[in-house]
Amino acid sequence: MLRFTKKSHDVLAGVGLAALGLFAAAEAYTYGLMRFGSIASGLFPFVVGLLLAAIGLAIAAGAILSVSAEKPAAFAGGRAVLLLPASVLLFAVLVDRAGLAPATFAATFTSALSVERSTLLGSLLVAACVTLCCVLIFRFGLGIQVSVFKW
Amino acid sequence: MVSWLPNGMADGVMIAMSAQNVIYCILGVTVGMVVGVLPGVGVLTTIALLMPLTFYIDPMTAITMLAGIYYGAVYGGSTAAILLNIPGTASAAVTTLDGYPMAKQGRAGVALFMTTIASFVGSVLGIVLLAAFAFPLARFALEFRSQELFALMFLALVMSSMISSGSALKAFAMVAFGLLAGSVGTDVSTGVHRFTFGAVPLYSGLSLVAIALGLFGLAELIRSANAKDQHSVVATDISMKAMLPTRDDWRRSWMPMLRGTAVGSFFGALPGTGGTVAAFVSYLLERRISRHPERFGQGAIEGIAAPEAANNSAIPTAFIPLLSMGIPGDAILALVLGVLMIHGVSPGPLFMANEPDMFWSIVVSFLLANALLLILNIPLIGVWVRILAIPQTVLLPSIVGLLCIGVYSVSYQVADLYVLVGFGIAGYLLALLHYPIAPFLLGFVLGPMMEENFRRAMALQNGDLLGFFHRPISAVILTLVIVILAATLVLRLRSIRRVRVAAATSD
Repeated sequence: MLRFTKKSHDVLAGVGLAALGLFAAAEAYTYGLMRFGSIASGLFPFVVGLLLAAIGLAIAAGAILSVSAEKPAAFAGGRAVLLLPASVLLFAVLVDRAGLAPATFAATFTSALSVERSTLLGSLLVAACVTLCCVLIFRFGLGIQVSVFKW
Repeated sequence: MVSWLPNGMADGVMIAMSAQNVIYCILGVTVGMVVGVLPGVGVLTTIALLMPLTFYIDPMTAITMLAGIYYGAVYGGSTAAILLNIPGTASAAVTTLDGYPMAKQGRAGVALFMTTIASFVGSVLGIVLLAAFAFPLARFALEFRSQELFALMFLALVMSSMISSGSALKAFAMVAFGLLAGSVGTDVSTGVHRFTFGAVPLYSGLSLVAIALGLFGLAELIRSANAKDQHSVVATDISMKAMLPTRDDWRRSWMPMLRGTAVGSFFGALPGTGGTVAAFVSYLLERRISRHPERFGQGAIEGIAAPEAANNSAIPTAFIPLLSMGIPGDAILALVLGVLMIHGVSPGPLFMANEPDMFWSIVVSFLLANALLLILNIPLIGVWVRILAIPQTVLLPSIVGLLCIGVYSVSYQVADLYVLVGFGIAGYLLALLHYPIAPFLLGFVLGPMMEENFRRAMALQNGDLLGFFHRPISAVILTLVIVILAATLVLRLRSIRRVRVAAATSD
């Protein structure tokens, strides 16, 4: 399990946000700040980006200067951290290629497995039921324009 | 039409009370409660999860359904708070303080009953205020130009960062991050593609639905999937007899309800604050003025009645600035605004002047939702208790299915699903690092509006930044913003120094 101290992750996050802000400001600068005396597309994101960079640095500096007890923060969630995003990605990959039903089944099955108490058979069963309900509600109830199966 | 009624009122009532609208309101209230009662699922998450369902019906009906979902989610949150000691919603956190002790004393039924009554009273009084003040405020706001709108949005962002739990600095960072995310896509005034890096699906900007569901849906699921603490529902006598409050309960509750409503209406209408603050303040107020403050936390019924009334009266009053000025006070209303705009409704003074019937139909659908909850909630408490017992293994896949199809079906763009995943992971990490998520969403929705108003104001002022201070209202609001920011900075520096001095002397 990954473990960071509270202090180090505050520093890390602050620096990360500052980097994001600087990157955004630099990118926004290329859109132009002013054009013919009026505000161009870049000014607003440029200023906000610099602001984010300043706040990020302040957070990092505050964390370095602070003397609070360093409580370790554990990454909770277990395998769900990987399996839940993966289930949405599976849906994304399958929905245009295989259709609504296979995509929903893949997503719900994968997400069912992310609960630690789950069993393979139980997950298959739950995924099948949820898929059936979703297809009935969305395709036939609400009439969304996605084919149920594509071959 | 009857001429002595306010303009559009009769039409609005007719629209809201049409059979179709009533059915969708019942549907909204029911699904709102079912999802809202689930542990760990807040009002924001519930609305985010269920808003794709409203995209298939006409705007008027969709708004009625949305009102039902909103109120259902709030009621559901309180139910979970009392029965499980875990608040389904942040504003229901206060309800756990006395609600759970009551449940342990076997008085869960009474607590739920009083919650329902207090919520209803608070809501209805709040709705009356909405009906009374929205039009005068809208007429006043007709005078507003870009300067005032920009200043008000700025105030809403600053205030909502100040009141979010934890570090204000982190909240400001999230606001800035949200503003940046809001600027992704084609710049409406120049046609320049910003932060799209050549990806065509990004030209129309990041999808609000995908972002909201990522930050509040997927992120929440990841965190709760394997939560260590399994909560058990308190065994509850849910017969009607056990639920009826005693004469003493009534006597002690009605004044706190009214005071709670007053507190809630105030904080609801104030930009940046909302139900959560209102609930906390009214709870503290009741404890302060009580002759027996020691009873609070031990199952005092006033400790439920006041915050529940406050929390619920804050909802309609928060719609006063949203509908009459187009300014959402918190993240939930930002989401509601986003949904309204997807339906082609843009609130503001012009909306109030041109579409009074729509305004009245919103008011009536709020009343309808509350009346339905009053009727549905109490007899169905047994059902809500059973919903709380649905195992994770069934719940989680169902929500994931809803998430995927919900996001995809908005515009049939696979890219939206990648946005969902990205913000799901980001939301999970940010919550681990104690960054508040709600200010991000407010920044995301307000960003484009702020930029547009800023540009317009600057054009009107010939590029003079000080022009914002030449108009009295915007000058007052911006001065307020500056004072708040300066005060935060001073307090923060002082607290750092104090901690360092304390640490130095203790070594």
